[in-house]
Amino acid sequence: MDAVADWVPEGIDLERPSAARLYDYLLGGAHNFAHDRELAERFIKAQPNAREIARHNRSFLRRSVLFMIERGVRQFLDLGSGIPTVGNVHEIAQQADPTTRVVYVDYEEVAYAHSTLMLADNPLATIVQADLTRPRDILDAETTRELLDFTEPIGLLMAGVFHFVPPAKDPRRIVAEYRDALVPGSYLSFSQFTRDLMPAEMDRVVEVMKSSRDPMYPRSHAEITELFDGFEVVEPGIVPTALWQPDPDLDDGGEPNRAGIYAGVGRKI
Amino acid sequence: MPSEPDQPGAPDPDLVRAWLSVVAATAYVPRSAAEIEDLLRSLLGRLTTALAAEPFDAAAGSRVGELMVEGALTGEATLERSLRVLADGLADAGHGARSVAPLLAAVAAGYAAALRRRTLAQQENMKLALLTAKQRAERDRRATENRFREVFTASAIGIAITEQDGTFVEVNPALAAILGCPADQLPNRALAEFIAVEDSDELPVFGEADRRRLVRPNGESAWVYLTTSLLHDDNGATRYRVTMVQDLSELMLLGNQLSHQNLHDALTGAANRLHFQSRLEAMHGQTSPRHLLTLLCLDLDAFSLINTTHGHQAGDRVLRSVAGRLMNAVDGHDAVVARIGGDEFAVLIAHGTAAPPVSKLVEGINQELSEPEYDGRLGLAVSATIGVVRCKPSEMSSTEMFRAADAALRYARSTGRYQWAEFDAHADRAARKVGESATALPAAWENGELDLAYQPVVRLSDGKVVRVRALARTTGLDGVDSTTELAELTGLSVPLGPWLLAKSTESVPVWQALFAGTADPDEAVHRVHLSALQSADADLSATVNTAVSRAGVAPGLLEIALDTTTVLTGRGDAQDNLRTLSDIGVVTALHGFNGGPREIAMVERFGVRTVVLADPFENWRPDWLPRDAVPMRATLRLIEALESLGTSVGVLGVRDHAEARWWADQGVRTGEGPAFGGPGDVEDILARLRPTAN
Repeated sequence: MDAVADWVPEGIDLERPSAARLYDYLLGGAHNFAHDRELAERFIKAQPNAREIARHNRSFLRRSVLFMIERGVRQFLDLGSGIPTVGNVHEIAQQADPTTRVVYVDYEEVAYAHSTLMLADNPLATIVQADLTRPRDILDAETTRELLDFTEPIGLLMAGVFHFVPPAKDPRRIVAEYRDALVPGSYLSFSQFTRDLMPAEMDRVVEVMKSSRDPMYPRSHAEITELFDGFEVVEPGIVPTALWQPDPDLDDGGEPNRAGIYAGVGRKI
Repeated sequence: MPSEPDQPGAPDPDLVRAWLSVVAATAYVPRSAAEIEDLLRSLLGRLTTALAAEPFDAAAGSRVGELMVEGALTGEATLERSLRVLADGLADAGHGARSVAPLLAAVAAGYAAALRRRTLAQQENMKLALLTAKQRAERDRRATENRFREVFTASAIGIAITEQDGTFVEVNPALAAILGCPADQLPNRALAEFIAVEDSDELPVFGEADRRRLVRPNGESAWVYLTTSLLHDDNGATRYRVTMVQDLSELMLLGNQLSHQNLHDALTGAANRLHFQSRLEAMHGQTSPRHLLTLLCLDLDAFSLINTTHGHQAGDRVLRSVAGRLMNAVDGHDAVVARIGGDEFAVLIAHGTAAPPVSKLVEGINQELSEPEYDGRLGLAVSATIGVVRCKPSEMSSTEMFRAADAALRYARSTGRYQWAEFDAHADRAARKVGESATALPAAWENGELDLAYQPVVRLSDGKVVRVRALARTTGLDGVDSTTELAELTGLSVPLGPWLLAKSTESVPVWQALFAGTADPDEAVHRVHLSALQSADADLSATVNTAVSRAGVAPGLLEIALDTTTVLTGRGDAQDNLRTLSDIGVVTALHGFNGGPREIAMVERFGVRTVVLADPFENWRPDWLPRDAVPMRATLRLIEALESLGTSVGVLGVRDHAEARWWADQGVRTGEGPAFGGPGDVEDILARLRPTAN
């Protein structure tokens, strides 16, 4: 297993690259392995804007969390949280209000183990290892119920993760199941890859990701709008990540339509 | 001359803005623009201060590099583009390349060192995370392995893990036993060696059971089923074969059968008493202390009657059908059905924390049982008396549960057939719930073999019909009495009662109109005699209430006679019924009245309005008996006593008008019998009476 770094304990299968580690690499983290980086390089070749896209998506997540905090939300359920690098939801949220509670969800073992370590000393943040396409596993988990109060508004975060949910799993049902568990006044922050913006690049990315354990399924603007069923989409609607309530002082001068990802926030009616 | 650089601590705002736009375009910094700008301003301040310092100190530059990493200014192109902006900006501000270049080199070095440290720290974290993940995986794997090990060793089916060529890698004890060869002699041998020559040419098809003959080392042979599957390694390549070997030898089959027979009732296939007790114990032990168990003990009503009337074959068939129906009734529950005695069955149900009401379960069982079983023309339906106990395992031991269910059964039986009772630790009678819904009717009713008939009741003083008595009449069975008798024997009279009351009350308006000219306006026009079981039925007053309100008639038009002995002995709810019926406004009556002092006292106590005498002269004509005969004297005194209480007296079986006149002379008010015509349906009675009424 020459591909595995010598500091990796024996017996762990890192042969199959993971999306969580790929994302970490794109964001400049070191929580990744040769196979992940190799995949990341192919990803970048298919979509030269990959780093920017990752950065914009991360930045959207941060802005949407702060947006919810301003509207009184003090608890978050972050689905597909991945490997915590910089600017995690609990850091952003607890900086604004230290009593904010956060439950992360990821199904990947390494992401789970890593988050457990990082959150060990934080009584108000935790991680549940579960598959986000099985909402009941998450909503009924004791860990979730201990930290989140479902009679109060919750910020449901699905940033850059839903493109891993295949159409066969009935995405509308999945979002609806989460939605039904939330009280009105809760928010959904959602972003995912689309073919609408950079179709050629997107097609190449889909091809590249077929070999990973996380194949990708881009969705059109209409399909994403459908997922917001039961939510009132807030301004400016479902738009490329960089255009969602941008911080004018942090405008990088880039072309926002080269984002590749649509983002939106909805308020449960 | 280059101009002097800006004062330390007041960095050039334009340069800060330029740097900010580089950061915004290259890195994700989880902060607001203002916060990032503050950071950059302070970093630039450090740099300008360092440039002004004498002698030049590279350490300040490397600290700025470190702070960039700490501040997450670590995008792929962030350092390079930052340095370019800074180099241009500082040069524009008049700093010489000689001092700017080494300072920015120090920034780059500090940045690289810090980034390396961060990477190492992240890798260290990752390593810890991986170790944790690995430990978790290992723990899970060990648990899986232990479970597999347990199945492997304990299985009665032989399991062999072999190389691709069939050489044994591992076998379980059952396989060694089936092969008749100690396990330690199996390594290096192959399964094929044990398969009879005529069979060994071809190994079984994967995944399909294949019948083969084994030859054991001692020459014995045995028939087995072989099922083979493949074991793959992590790469999906085939590593081993797994073969399951099931012994089909007669001994084995016999053994299986014997153990089935030991545990099951041969006639019905339900568990037997012994097996049931051990299942009860096991389920009691395995159920969470917070979960509910329900144990029902059933005793078939009048089962011996089926055996004596229709023969034992019919009886056996009924038992088999009862077992099958009980299994149907609890289908979908975690339940055991057992035959624990000749005509006794038991049902144990394990629920979760929520269980359907006991009454629902009993109702379901009664409904299953009441469906008649047809054999040719003969339709046999059974009913059962049921004792129930429901508790959590923490409240009662399994032995106590059995005893409690049995006690409840005995209690239910004491109130009559076709009843059920739930065990009540405090023997609180009020809490006892008697079967609420006994609506299921036996075959005769469904087929219309049962109908209603009305017997005229005559006012003896003038021979006018003033009332009718409703009867259930079975076609095909002779005599009215035998219907009631049979119904009483089988316990079916309890459901028969509500039916009779409900159906017959519907025609009360007819009688009211018919007798309007003859009877006193507040007199009852309709009489019903209830059997012993019906009199004791806990639901009687509810049934009457429903019947009266459905038919929309005044309760006072109904005369309902309860069985005297039942009321006297206080069986079931008979006394309550008498009191409640009177409260409702029904004309209460007693039939089968013998005239003992306690009976008379009861009439007084309950304010009974009518008494129908049991035949006091044992079928002799009273008008032919000497007036000084002892029974005669006693009867006359009885009539007198009842008269004095304001109770109306009635007699049955009046043969002719002479006898009718005799009774009238003694003060008896009403009479029924051949003298006034036998029972008929509504049309008959109307036809008989209309001319007279006109």
